[in-house]
Amino acid sequence: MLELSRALLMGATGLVIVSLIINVVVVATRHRKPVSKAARKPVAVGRGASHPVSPLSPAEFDENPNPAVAPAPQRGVAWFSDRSVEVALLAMTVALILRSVVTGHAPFSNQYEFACAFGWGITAAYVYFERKYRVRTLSLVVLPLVVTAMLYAFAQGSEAAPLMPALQNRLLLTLHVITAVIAYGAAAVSSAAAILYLLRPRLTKIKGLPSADLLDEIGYRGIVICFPMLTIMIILGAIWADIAWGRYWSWDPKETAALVTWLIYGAYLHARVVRDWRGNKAAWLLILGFAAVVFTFLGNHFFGGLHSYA
Amino acid sequence: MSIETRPTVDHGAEAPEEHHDLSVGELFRRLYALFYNKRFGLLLILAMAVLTLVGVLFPQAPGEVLADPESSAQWLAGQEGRYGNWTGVLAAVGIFGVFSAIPFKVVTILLALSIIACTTHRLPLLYNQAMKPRVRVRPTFFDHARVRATAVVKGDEAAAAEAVRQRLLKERYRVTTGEDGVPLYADRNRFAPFGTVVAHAAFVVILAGVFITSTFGFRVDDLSVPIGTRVEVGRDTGLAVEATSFKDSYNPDGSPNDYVSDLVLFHDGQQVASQTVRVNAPLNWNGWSLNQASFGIAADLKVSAADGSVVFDQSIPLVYQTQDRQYAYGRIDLPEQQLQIYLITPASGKVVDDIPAGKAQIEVYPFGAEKPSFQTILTPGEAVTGADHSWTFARERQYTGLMLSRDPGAVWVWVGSAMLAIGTCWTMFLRHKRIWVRLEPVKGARACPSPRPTVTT
Repeated sequence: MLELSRALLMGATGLVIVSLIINVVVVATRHRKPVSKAARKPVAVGRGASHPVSPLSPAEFDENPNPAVAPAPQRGVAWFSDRSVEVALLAMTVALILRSVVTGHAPFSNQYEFACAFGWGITAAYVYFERKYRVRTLSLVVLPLVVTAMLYAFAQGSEAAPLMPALQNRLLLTLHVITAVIAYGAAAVSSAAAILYLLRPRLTKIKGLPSADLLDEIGYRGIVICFPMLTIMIILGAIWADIAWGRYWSWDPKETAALVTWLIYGAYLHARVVRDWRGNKAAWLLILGFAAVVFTFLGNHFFGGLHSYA
Repeated sequence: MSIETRPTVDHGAEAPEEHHDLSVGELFRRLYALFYNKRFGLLLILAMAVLTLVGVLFPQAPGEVLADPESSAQWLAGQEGRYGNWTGVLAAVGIFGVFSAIPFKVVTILLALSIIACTTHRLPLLYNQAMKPRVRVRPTFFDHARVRATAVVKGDEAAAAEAVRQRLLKERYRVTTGEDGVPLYADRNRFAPFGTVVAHAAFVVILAGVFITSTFGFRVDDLSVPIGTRVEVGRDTGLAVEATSFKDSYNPDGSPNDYVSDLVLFHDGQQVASQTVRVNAPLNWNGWSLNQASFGIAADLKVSAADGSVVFDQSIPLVYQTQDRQYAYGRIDLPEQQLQIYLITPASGKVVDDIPAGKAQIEVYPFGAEKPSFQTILTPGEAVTGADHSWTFARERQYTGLMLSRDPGAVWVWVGSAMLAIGTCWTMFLRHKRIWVRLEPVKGARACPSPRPTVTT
C-alpha cells in the first residue's frame, strides 16, 4: 500500500509536469483574439480580461435578444492541462488517504509526509483559483512549486515511522497540520500572483496576461483563505503545546517562524488599506510571506527545538 | 523688475517671538492620531516581525539562564564556538534574549496601543457604515468604482427598478430605495467589518494573558523525581510529587514509543491527586499541571558527617551529559557544609575506562573552588571517607523528568485565541458586500429607459 501511495504521488507529479509544459506552450503561443468594437463597449473596471462582467452592449442587445448561450469551450490541449492537474490532485488525495490508512495517522509526521501534503495543498489551492478565475498564466509559477515540493518529498525517506510520544495526539496532529497545509497552499498561489504582478510590466510580449487588478485580487483572495487558516493553526499548536508541555508558547524556532509568517500576512492585510502600500509593496509582502512559509517549513534543517522531527 | 509675492519677514531680534504652545489635549489628540494611523501600525507589525525573525535566527537563552550571571556566562561560552568573538557583542545588544529585551517589549506595547487606538477610531466609522450607510454617491463614483458592472435591459424603468430590487432581496441584500422606489444602495453582511474589531481586541487580550503568565505564572521545567521517592517542590507551593512507577517503551527501530509515569501529588502533606502521566496526558489539579518531559538514571547517595549524622540521603538525577556524551552526571549543593558534589557515571549504554560499569565517581568541591577537594570511585554499598564526610553510593534507579506549571494567564490567552479565530474568520469569510445602483436610459436604444446598475463592493 505504501508503494502504491508513492507510485500515485509520482504519477501525480508527472501529470503536474505535463500540465505545466502544456500551459507553457499555450501561454507562449497565445495570440490576442480580435474583439469586436461593440463587445468592448461595456467596461468592467478592476477585473481582468478573463472576467467580462457584462458582455452585453446595447448594440448587441438589439442584434441578439437572447444571448445567454455562450459557445462551448473546445477540448484543446488547455482542456487536457486542466484535467491533468485535477487528476493529479485526485491521485495525491488517494495516495495520502492510503498512507493514512496504513500508518494509522494523518500523513503529517515527517518531512516526506508533510512535503507531500504541502504539494497537495498547493495543487488544491491552484485548482480552486484556476476554476474561480481562469488565469492560466498563474500555473507557470504555481505548478513549479508543486513539482519542487514533490521532488523534495521524494528526496526524503518515505518509510513510515511510528509517531514519537509528543506527536501521539491524532486529533490535534490532523487539525494542526491540515490547517497549515491549506494556509501554505493558498499562500503559494498568492505569492505566484504577486510574482506575476511584479513581472507583468516586463512581460509585455506575452499575450493575454491577467490584469494587474486581477492579480492583486487573486493575491488578496489567497490570503483571505491563508490568514484564518494560519491563525487557527497557530492557536491549535498553542493548545497542543499546553497539553504536551504545560505552556502555550515557548518561542520554539518553528512556532516563532510561524508567528513571523502570520505577522507578515497581517502586515499585508493592513498594507492593503494603506493607499501608498498597495501595488508593488503589497506584492513584495506576499512574496516575503511565502518565503517565511518556506523557511518555516524547512526550518528544522537549520534549528532544533520542539519541532525538530518535522 | 521684480514682483514681491509675499512680505519680507525680518528675523531680527526686534521681531516678536512666536509661541507654539501645545495643550495637553492637543498632545493626546496627536498621539491618538499617531497610534490609529494605519501606516504606523503597519510599521510596528513589520518591526515585530523583524525582531521575531532575529529571535528565530539566533539561539535564545532561557529566561532563568539570563537571570543568573553564572549560568548566563556558561551559556554564552557554549555559543563561542559558533559566533567566536562576536558572541560578546551579540549578547550585549540582546540578540540572545530578543523576547525579553527592551526593544521587543517596547514594540509590543506600542503595537497594543496602536491596536486599541485603531479599533477605537474605527468603531464609529463601522457603526455608520453598517447602520447609516451613504446611499447617494456622485456620478463620477460609478465611473471610478474599482469593480463595476453594467447590464442593459429592455423595458420600462419602473419595472426594471423593481426587478433589480427583487433580485437584490432574493440575494439577501438589504435594499435602500429612493423616494421614487428606485434602488440606490444595497448591502449584505453589514456587520462583517466588526470582525476586525473582535480580532484586534483579541490581540490585546492575548497580550494581557501573556503578561499575566509572565508575571504571575509559576514554572519548573526540570523537576526530576526518582522512582519510588517523593520530592518536595518547595518555593512555597506546598506541593510534593511521588513517582510510584515508570515505564518506557521503544519501537523496533529504537525510537521512543511511550514513556509513562505513575504520579501521586501531595499538597501540604495530603494526597490530592494521582494519575498515569504521558506526554499528551498531564496531571491537572487546582490550576497546577504536571507534564511528562523526560526520564533518565538517578543515583542514590548517602552523605554522613564525621559524627555519624546523615546530612544527605536521596537520589541524584543524572540529568546532564558531558559534551562527548560518554558520561552522565548530576549535581547537588550542601549549603550548610559549603560543598558542591558531582556524581558521575558512564552514560547509558557507554563503556568508559575510568569508571567501571555499575560504579560511580564522586567529585567534592568546596564552594567557590575550581579543583575538587576529594575525588574517588564509589562501589555500591561501600562507604568511603573523604573531605570530612562519609560517602555511600547505594544504587542506580530511574527518575522521571517532569514539568510543573501554574498559569493564571492561560485562560485569557484562550479567550483571546477564540476571539482571534472567530474575528479573523468573520472578517475574511463574511465580506461586507455593498452595491450602489444607478438606473439610466440608454441613448439611442429603441426601447425606453433601461437600467444600468453599477456594482461596487
